[in-house]
Amino acid sequence: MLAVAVSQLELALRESQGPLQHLTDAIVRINQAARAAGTPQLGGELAVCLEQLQFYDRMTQHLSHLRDFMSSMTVAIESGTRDGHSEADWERMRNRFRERLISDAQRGLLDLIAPAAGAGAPSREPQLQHAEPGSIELF
Amino acid sequence: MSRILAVDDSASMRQIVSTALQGAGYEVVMAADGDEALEFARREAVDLVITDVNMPNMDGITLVRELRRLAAYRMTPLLVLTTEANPEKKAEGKSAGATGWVVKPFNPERLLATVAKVLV
Repeated sequence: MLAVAVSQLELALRESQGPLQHLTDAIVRINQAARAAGTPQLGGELAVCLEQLQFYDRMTQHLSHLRDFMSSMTVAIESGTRDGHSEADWERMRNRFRERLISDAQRGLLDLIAPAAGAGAPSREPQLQHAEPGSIELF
Repeated sequence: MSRILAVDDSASMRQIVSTALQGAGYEVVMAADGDEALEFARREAVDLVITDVNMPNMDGITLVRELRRLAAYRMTPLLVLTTEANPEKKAEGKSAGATGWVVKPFNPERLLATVAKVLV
């Protein structure tokens, strides 16, 4: 059933690419027409469109990571019926997935539903902060 | 006007970045992954590279590292534009020679301000 879910995710990702491309193309054409017509007031609205369109890219990344995680779970479960998997193996899989997540909300949800082993003990190590979406840092 | 190489495996993202930059008058050339970008860079120089991280064939951090090996790109600003917010990944990018780290979704005006700053 995990394999079914993975394949459905893959299909959903593929099916949405076409409409997104059309939408992006249309916004590009509107932007070009606005510049040619000299209508700067549209500039701000188009900037909003360009920023919001990126959420699709973000969603695609999130779903791709989820698909990869579910694929690895499928393989692990199938091989686990033969070889067995330790708690450490599942923990490593969980942590690899957590490293790929791209927002505090995604990581928080994972930590809530599937907390890390020993999550109750407070860490004495300073926690590195993940960068916020939209942030820019020059080195 | 300055020429910028935009690298992303997503055609939509390439267009979004390109639209934002062309609107400010920059010339934009595009590549779909690190391999394509590096092949281009070996032939031609640009004033700035903006690259995604997660790409097939060659990821963005490897691309940054390889570009820094080219004489023409030793001092070129290299911005990473990515959904990756992991501080360790950012440190890896910095160590590879990236000039800056921009987390998607980017605000076009803020990106343009950053581009103007690094191109000075």
